[in-house]
Amino acid sequence: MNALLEDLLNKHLAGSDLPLDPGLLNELNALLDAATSVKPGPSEQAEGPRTLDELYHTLWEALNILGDEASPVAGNGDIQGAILDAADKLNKACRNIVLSEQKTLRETVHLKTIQSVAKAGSWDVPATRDLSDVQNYWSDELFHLLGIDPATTKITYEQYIELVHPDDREFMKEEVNKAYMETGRYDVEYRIMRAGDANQQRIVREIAEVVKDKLTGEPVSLIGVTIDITDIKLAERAIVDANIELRTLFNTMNEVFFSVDLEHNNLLQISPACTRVYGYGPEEFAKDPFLWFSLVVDEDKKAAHESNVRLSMGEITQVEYRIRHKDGRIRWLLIRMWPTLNVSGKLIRIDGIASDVTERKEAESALANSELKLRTLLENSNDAIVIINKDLEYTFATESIGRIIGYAMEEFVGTSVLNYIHPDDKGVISHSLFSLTNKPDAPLPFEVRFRAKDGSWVWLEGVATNHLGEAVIDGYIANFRDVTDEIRYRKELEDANDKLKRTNAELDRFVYSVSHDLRAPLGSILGLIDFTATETADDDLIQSLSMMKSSIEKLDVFILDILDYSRNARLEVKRTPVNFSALLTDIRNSLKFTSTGNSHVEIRINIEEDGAFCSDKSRILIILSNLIANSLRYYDPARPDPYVEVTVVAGADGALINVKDNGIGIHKDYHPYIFNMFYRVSEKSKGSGLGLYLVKETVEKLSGDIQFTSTPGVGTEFKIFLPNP
Amino acid sequence: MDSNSFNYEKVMVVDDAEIDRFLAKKVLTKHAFAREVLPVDSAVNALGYLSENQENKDALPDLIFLDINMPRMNGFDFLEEYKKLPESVKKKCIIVMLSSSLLPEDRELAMNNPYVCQFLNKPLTADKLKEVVNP
Repeated sequence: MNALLEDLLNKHLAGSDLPLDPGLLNELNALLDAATSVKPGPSEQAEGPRTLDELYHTLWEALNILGDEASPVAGNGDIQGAILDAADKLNKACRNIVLSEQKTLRETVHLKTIQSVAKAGSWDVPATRDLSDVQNYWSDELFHLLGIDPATTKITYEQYIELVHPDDREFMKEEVNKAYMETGRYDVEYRIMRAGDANQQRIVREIAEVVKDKLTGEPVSLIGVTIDITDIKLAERAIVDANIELRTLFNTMNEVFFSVDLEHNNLLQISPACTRVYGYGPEEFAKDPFLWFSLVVDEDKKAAHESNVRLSMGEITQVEYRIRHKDGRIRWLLIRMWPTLNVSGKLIRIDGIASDVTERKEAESALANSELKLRTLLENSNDAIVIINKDLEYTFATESIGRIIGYAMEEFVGTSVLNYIHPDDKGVISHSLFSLTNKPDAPLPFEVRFRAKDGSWVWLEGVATNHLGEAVIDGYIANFRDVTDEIRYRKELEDANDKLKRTNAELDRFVYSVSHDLRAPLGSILGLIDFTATETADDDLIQSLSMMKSSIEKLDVFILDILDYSRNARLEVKRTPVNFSALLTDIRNSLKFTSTGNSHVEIRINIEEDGAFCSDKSRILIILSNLIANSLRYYDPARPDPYVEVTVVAGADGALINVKDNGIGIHKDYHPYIFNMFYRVSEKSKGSGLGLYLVKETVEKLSGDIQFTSTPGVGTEFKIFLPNP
Repeated sequence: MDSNSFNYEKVMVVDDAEIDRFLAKKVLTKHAFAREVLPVDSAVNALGYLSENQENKDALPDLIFLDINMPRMNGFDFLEEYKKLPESVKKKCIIVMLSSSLLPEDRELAMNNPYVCQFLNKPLTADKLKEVVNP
């Protein structure tokens, strides 16, 4: 080779394996050889240029030198022209080399950038039996992805496997084996541990292909791409979770979500809650686009229609209407809808939520009803309710005050309580205020005279309560009603009662004095008859006197009975402790002086008492003396031992009185009548016919009970129970 | 009749009814209850007599039968005034109410009076006289 060329090439292209066309080099060699003298090249000045661009320039410079007049290459113009041509060719070849080099470089840069951006590393494993010690090719990005330093790590398949998550290693190896044996490729996802750290897990997707020898078909190597898909996976999982949540929400919420495509009149979606809310499933709504509207009750169809009109104008719309649930019940729905209009302003889609608000509606309507009820009650009540503030001004009054005191609510509110109260009742107001202040929890009844609008005085009766502590009321609540008539009636009643009491007392005095005035002369006559009888021995006269006497005695008993009757009927029951022993002694004594008392009937008295029994003494006297007198009157003369036995057991629980005789008895035919007024069993009866009637009346007055048994020829027994009140 | 068998020397009967005064006098005399019966027709006159003779011990009655129902001044009114008489009078006289009243109130009122020692119902008979306490 020409020394010059060799020097040039050595100088500039040493170590470079640039694919210079050998033909060109040969041509150049020949041309240079033809030159006579060779100078040391000026290219010596340029030390170490290595890039192809620089090489080209150096060469170009050198060739220029060759063509120069002072060139060490002497020759004629033809040779020079040929050299120039050759240099041009060399130039072109060099330029192509440079361009191709640049392209390769760019592609390498691109590949690196792509790998880095895509977080995808590539690798190449030679196919050998023993993978443990074979050097692999790992791209820079793969090192980055695995988090290891290429300088300190042995790049082997085993090293790689160690970075794979322990749980995924077997599966990985299997996939590789399968690719070698059968499939020729694989595409798997598994986990790696960055830098072997279990806390730095990443998820990767790996796609690999087995490269085979074209001639033998034997595997040469396995080439693959490993992509970090951790972020994608996490995002995917988040999306899946969100979707599951949304789906759950969609399925379980009581609200019905729906979307309607109006261009195609197509139900895009409706959530399963529709089965609960409407009673119809999603498929039924999908089948019939007008189902929802047909369920709206007729009265509310207008409202439903109007909401559609608003939607078509692009307004977000809210509407409440009633539907008939499949189960027949009427339900209230609240529907909120968002319209979507297309560019020409046409409604193309509605998204909405329908919720069942029946309970709220019912509660509202119950509230409204109860409010209405309350207002109606208040307004139609005979009672009025007012609120009085601490300055004694009315701050509120129900309409009903109009009926009671004639004032309209407006003219009444704001005025003072004291304007209306009767002067005599103003003390009641100050008393009431005192009481309400000192006992704020106690409702205070009141009764005052109140000046009505027409000037008349109206009696108001009511209750006042202290609500000064409650901000809403801040005063006293008084509810009252007109009791003017009641008070008048009450007064009239009281007057009448007083009058009656006076009349009663007068009557009592009258009965008393009449009976006394009637009895006094009878007593005198009896005395005289007795005396006269002792003065004479004339039997006829004595008999006449005796008949006169019994007649007068009968009259006397009659008067006494009437007196007792009158007193029993009219006098109050006066209860005091009853001493039966003393009472019976008195009776026995007073009977002694009557004609009946003269009989030889034995009066037996058995008393068991502890002093705890209380009753009306004079009435018990009436009962006992009448019963005993009867036993004495109607004794059986045929018996040798006539008696009447009075047994009394008295205590805190009441008194049992038993009056039993062995007298003539009463035939059972007369039993039903013996207690009747003026009833007498026979003409022989000596009484007034009032005695037993009086006994029964008196027992009843004392809330007691009387029973009797009587048999002619055996005797009579009365059993009386008197309660101890 | 033995003069010694008289229960009382002098018995006053205060009653507005003439028949009762007459009867009392007859019965008291016949049964030798009193040597002398002094009928008085009203409580006023009875008080007048007692007050006039308050110093004359012999003139004062040993026993007084007193009616309740009398015009102007009744038996209880009499007792109110009697209270004011000197002890000498009250010590000598025993008062027995003699009435046709059967009112328990009357009996009670009478028996609660410290000067009344007994209550009898009219008419006055020999049997009832036996009940009257002896001096």
